[in-house]
Amino acid sequence: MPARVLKAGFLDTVQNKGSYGQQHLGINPGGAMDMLAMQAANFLVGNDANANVLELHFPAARLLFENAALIALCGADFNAYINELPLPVNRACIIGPGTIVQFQNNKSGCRAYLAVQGGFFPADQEPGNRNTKYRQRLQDNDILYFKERSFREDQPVIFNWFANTTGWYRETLQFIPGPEYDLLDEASKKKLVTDPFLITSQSDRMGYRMKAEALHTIKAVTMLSSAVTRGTMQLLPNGQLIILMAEHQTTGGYPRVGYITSADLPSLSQAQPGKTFRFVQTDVIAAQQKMLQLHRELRQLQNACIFQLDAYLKK
Amino acid sequence: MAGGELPCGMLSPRIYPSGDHAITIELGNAIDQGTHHKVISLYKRLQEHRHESMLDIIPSYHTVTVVYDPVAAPYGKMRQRLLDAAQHPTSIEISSRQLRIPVCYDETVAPDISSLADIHRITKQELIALHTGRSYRVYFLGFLPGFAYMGTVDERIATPRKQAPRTAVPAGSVGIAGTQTGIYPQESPGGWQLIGRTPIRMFDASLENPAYLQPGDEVQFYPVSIAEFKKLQQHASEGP
Repeated sequence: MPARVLKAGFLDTVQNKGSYGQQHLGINPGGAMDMLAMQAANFLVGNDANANVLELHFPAARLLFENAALIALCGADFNAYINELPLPVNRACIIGPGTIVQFQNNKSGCRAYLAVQGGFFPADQEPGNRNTKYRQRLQDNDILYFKERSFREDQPVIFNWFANTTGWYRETLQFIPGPEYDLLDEASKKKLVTDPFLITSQSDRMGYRMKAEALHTIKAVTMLSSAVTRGTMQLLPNGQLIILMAEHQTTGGYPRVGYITSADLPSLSQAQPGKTFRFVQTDVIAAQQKMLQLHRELRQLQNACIFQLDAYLKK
Repeated sequence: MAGGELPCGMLSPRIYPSGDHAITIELGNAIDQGTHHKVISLYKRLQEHRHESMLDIIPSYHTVTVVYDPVAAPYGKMRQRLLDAAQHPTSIEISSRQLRIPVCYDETVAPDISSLADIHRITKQELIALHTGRSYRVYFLGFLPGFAYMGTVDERIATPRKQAPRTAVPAGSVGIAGTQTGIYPQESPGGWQLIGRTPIRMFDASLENPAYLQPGDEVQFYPVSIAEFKKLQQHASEGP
């Protein structure tokens, strides 16, 4: 009935929007790195935005679906196959019992999101419990449950409608200046919005270490630690930036030069080490308007998917 | 930041966005009880009257940060909500939990205790007496799940972090960094000066309240022998 991990990938985990409400205990919310792709994958299979998906890095897990399932892949394109058939990203797909899902090569992006109708539940997790915080990476032979249902086709069906992700992934990252931004000297402020910043290999779900010409403050800064958030651009003592990601520490004491906007974190999450970005300054009002716009776009996608799935499944 | 947001004579607190989904209010700029009293009052007030748009309320020495859903409430609204809560008269008494935590100061579990005693030209016994001689406020939790930043220790035992952090500090290690003291809830790299170890499990992910300590708690350490430490540790690992 469930899905089985035939061979675990480099880093496969069960993710959703993350578990908030415990940061005062030092526990970060975690959650999917690319929130847009995670939600789109869920909507394509008729889930709500926060159902459990698999976040896959390349090389990604090889999975056996023992039961028929409605699935969708979003985010990175790892050249997926369902048995012998290529599975494009951003489309819903019905697969029959005994289907093997595997990934051939890393065509684009960094993190793929695999959703199943009803959401995945690891074998040791109560259905309905969405706290994925303490879950380890998937191992060979791990079992992932999902709600059983049958479809009238024996052959795979790849739907011809798709999620339009135009405009989601961009070459620049917008940032809101942070409380220590004004401690940068004028040359560094200029560098921040003109120089290219390179993603180093020391970049993971905790944070992205960037490389550029060092930035300098006008005076030595000693700070008390306080809460930090996903997207915080901290200035390290060597003048380089680290951008905090999903598994960030909950507090920090480095100068906060700025904050990458939520709308732009998916672009960073899908970028490989070696890629460069430029930063563009914005403000909190504009950043939140952009978030609202994306939120409306996702709602439209959700409604369209519900409509299409209903129409198909009722036929 | 305009005047008139707070009653005359009160300094407007600094309030700023921590990105597009969090906001921070600064109630001081030092590690001191007065500032932290304000922090904990506001933190508890916000917890008690938690608006549904608030996802996390995180105190520190001198700030309270609220992580929120901008779809449910934009920045302007959250800013006003935070200012209103900060303006509310501080309750005179904050009920804080009093906790006693056993610490073994035996050198076998306290690798830095001798060098610290030497640096400060006191005996180990004096160091232990100074560390257990007062109660500590839990200022906030951070760094690791369940890691409590506590303070402040007597100036006579305040010590900077180690030059080279250890790659593995055992769970339960009690350390000093500057005037702060803290307990490593799990094994991790760390640069604090290690003067003891507690048998108490400071973090257990399987519990509904996984962290043993919470912001605002008052902690009093008391010394136990290495034999007692081992007995308590055995007891803790066997569970209830």
